Amino acid sequence: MTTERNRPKCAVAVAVLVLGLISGVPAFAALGDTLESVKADQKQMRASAQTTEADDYTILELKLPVGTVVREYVSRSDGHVFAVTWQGPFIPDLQQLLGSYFQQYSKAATVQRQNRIGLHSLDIRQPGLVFENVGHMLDYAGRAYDPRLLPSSVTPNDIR
Amino acid sequence: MRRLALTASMLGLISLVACFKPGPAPIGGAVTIELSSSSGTLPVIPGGSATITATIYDQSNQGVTWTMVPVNFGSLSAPTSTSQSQSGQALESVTYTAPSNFSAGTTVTITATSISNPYISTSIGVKLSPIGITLQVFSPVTNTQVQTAYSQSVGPGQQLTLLAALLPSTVTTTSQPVSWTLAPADAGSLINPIPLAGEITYVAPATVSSPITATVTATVESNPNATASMRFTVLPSGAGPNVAIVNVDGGPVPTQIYPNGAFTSVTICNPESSSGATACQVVDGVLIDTGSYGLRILQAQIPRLNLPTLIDPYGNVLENCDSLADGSYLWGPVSLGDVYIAGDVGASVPIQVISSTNAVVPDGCSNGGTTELNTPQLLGANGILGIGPEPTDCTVAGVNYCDGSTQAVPPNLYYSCPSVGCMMTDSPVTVAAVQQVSNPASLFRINNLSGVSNENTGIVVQLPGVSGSAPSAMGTLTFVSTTELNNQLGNATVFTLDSNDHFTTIFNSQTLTNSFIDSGSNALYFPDSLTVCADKTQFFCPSSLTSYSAVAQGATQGQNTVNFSVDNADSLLSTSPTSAAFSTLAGPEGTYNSCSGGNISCVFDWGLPFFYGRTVFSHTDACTSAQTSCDPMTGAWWAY
Repeated sequence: MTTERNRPKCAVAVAVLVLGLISGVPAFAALGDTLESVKADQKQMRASAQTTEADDYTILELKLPVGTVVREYVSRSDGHVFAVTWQGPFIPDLQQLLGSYFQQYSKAATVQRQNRIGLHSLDIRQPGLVFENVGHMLDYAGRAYDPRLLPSSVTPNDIR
Repeated sequence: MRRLALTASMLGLISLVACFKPGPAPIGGAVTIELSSSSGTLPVIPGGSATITATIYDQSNQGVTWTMVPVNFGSLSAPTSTSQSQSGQALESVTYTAPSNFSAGTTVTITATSISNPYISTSIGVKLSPIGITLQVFSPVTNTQVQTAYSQSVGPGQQLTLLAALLPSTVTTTSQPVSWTLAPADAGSLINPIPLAGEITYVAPATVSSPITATVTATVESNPNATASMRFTVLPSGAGPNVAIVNVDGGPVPTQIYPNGAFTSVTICNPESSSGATACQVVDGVLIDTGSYGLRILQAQIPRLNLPTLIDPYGNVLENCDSLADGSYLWGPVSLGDVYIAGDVGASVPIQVISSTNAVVPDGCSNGGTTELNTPQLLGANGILGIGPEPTDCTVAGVNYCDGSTQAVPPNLYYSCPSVGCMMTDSPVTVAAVQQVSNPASLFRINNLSGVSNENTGIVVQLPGVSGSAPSAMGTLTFVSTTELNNQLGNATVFTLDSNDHFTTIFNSQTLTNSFIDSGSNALYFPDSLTVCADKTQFFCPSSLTSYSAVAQGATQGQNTVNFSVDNADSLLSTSPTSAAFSTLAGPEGTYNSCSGGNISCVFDWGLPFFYGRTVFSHTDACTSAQTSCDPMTGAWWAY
């Protein structure tokens, strides 16, 4: 581990919210949205959620019904979701997860695929969006963040 | 049959000259003409002929003139005629002879026009068909003609008897002799020809020092366009009815080189067609992928097969989606095919036929990606053979995510759509395991050539060592069978896997808990601080060849050291533009020293370079419940 500062103070405040209440597609807050929207979206979820507090941000961890774990990084100062990560057997719904960044992702993914041959990972690095996805069938991991939204004390290495 | 043909021609007559009724001789001066062909409804082959007979009622008895469309596609003889009978009926015939050579089926229209009343004419269509030829191997064990894959391996001195079958079914090797050639001429010999049966025996050379490929070609003597070939690769050792040939040869697209892609050929047959000769197609250039499960073939590569699709009670077609990590995807119906690889056969295997049309794909499948991999150029292959250690494309370590057993909400793999197609808003559905796109290896139950029943338990991929780069590399894909001796573990180390099918790689002070072996990845991919290439940004570009060592650890057993080297990919690929095999190709994934809880930086993807110089075993997951309650040796594991 190289970056020790700003590591989440694990177990400082762990709240387990099991919300198996309402049927419907699982939904989560999108990159760039606010914490309020995260809370609002939880009402639609069939996923269990768990929060971890770090110095300048909160990590909301959701386990989707299809087995994939999504983590949303929410800035404490302005309440925005500045990063999302995922790991598990299925890539989550990226339209839900990326929100207003979805079109930017879609265009960049198309351009990158045109320049490569074979079955590859995705690695988009644009000023307003970093998107990485790796893995193979039934086994994926990835992350997306907007470098402009990172709290000043947070580095990309903190987004795990 | 003749009566049917006559009826058909009479119906044609009614439609063409509706004001004249066929039948008994009309009273008065009316003229009628009925045509029939000696070929009936059967096609005429190149150089073949058919006699067209006109039955004419014409009191003036002036006969008919004959014409054909297209003009000059074949020839018509001078007509012969009989004298008019008392009922006023006369017969007149011509012989139509097809061109001696043509390559596509067509229909020639022959018309008889009354001389006494040129307004009256009747036409008949004569179907023409080129001669087709297919080859099959005669099983030495079961004494029957069997389908085999094109990429058959044989051992030194081994003999295989080949049989030619001709199309259309009216043609036989008795009437149309077949000649045989072997290329290269010294790649064995052809013996014991039985011309009338269309049979010959190929004998592999008694000794070979390295693998050689022999191609046996049968040609219809009267028709040089009618040829069929079978390819055998003679291996110095390890050949067998369960061994297919794998080539790292740049792939099937002539204009592009797929670096580090291992390809084989697969024969697919329509399980609902009784005619083996017309119901099978060979697909070359199919990527061997231990990172996925199930066979996926581009529809354009099997245009004749028209495989049955899986349809639900409401008539909806079951469609399959395969999302790739790079945002592209494969889409198409789950179809049933008999799958032949080497001598192994899987009956009615659910496969994905990748749609060639740009049908509507649900948003849940495309997930923002716009690249549908539905051409050889986009896919870099004609199909993907997913032979990793799971039985279906929705199973991990005994858990089936799509059959409704563990969760009510299915992932974005299967969609049930009306035959007219899906809508973008469609949601995925649950699908029983037996209907999911399945790893063919897990459905191999009998070997066609050895005739032996077996329970296939996995696969072995063996590739030769590659030093730096090589134009190509040839290896084998063996289907593990307890009845063959060519797939023994020997002193290979078994690495068991965790509940996500991962093992651990300890590399450069990182404990990479989400490691896997993937022949479908064209490089080794791992988190490192090495310089990324300026041009090919998916690869590393160290200033010089750099050596590394990693330790692989199985979940409950297995540990060893793996040494590998990484070279500058930009210079490798530019200095060897025609090479297809690269042992030192590697690239970045995740961030160095950032592995935590199985995130993106915990992955070591041991791609195809790992296979060079190794024999890699994959054991198919046979757990029926979660891995935690299943013996790890029963589940998925790797060995090498």
